[in-house]
Amino acid sequence: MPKYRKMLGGGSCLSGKSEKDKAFFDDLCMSYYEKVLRYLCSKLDCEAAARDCTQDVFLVALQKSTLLRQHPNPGGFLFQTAKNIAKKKKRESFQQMMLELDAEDTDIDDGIPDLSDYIQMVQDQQINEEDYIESVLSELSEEKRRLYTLYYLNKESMREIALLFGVEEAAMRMRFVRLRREIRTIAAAVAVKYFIS
Amino acid sequence: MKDKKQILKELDDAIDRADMNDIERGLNSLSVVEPNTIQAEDPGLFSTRVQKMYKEQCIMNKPRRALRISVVAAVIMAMGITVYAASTLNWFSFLSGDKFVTMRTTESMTEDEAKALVETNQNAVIPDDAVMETPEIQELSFDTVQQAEKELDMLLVLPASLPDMVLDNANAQIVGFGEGLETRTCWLNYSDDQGRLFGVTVVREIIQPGTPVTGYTTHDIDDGSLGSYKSKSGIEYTTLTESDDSGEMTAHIAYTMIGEYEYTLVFVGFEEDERQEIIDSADLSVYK
Repeated sequence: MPKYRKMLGGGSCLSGKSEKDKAFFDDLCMSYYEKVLRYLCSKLDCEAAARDCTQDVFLVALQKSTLLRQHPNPGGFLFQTAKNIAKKKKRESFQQMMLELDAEDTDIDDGIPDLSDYIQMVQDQQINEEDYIESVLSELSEEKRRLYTLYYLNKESMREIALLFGVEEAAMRMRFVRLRREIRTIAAAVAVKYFIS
Repeated sequence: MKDKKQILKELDDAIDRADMNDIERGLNSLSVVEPNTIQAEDPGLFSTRVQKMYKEQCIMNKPRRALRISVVAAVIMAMGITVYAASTLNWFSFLSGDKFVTMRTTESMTEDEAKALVETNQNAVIPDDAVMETPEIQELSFDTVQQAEKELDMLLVLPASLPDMVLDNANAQIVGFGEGLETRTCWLNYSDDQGRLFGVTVVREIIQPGTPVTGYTTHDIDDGSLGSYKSKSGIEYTTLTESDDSGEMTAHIAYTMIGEYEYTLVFVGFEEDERQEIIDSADLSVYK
């Protein structure tokens, strides 16, 4: 349940929003929509994901518009929300990739510890998880980064990505298996190099 | 010249400080290193689209409660919770994990049974034979509290020490579940020129005699904020806080349940002694 919805929501649906709230929301979109979208595109490196996240940011703003009208700095609130949503998106994408990696590697012992061990270490040491994920992904080649973005952030299907790259779907799946393993190797190296004291 | 990574880092720092000037500067710097090729839609159209989507989401969310009530009924049977014929409404409120739960039931059960029910129901599989009622929902808004009271046929108690504030909106929702149950919720939201917000939420559950009802609602609350306050007239309130995502705005909430009513006071920007004075001045004897 969204916060305040029951307690203070002033009506849980838009029909219950006051005209003041609606006018305020229109102004917010006018002033900040393009800027937030611009920020999220750079942050996520993925236009489709940025558009989705921008929408989420403004849905939050609309849901809280009664409260936000009293906020001393609504622009600051929007960007903080955008930053949090982008962070969540990146973390969820990375976690999905880790789960797939774990699932396909249960029987393989290649001497490299489980990637989740490194993530756990990062979390235990209260290191900036976003920096860690970004450091790992920045080591990928441009093409591999694009593959990661298309599948994990943009949520394109494997078939669509294969079509885009002009290869068979099975071949593309194999590429992703290799990509995930490469990320695991990079993650281990990055954790040791920058994050694990 | 700074690269994109450095600029984004500085931009994030500016966002953490909520410094709009630095945020603007960061966005301008980004445009230099990474020319913008995105086609942003018209902000007016975007606003309309988001509002439409929000409305649709609301509609989609509404049947959840009916679902929850149906599933709860099934879980009661599955768990073998002691059930007696009862006509009065019993209320429970407690923490379940990180959620604050308020439950109302016509069944006779202990608080432990209520907690177990909520816990089990979180993972409950909807039984094939569960009766799914589609609720009828009506949204209303009013110009005055008196108008709301009259049209909703419910008592809306305002604290006698209500601060000098303006009524921003008075909205209500009536949700009917078949013949036996109707929930009427009224939100009264006030604000003043100091940026303070005050809200009164009153929920009335109207249950026809003989209708077995068990339903609950969960709320996100701030960790460790659950407490209690006993008003001067002896009414026990559950107190808690809810903060927005940025953590900048915190609502202090006092909540109680009497008869067929749930009564909630919401404060943003009030000191503790002001809150207590207002709570003490709410005469809820009419709900008994």
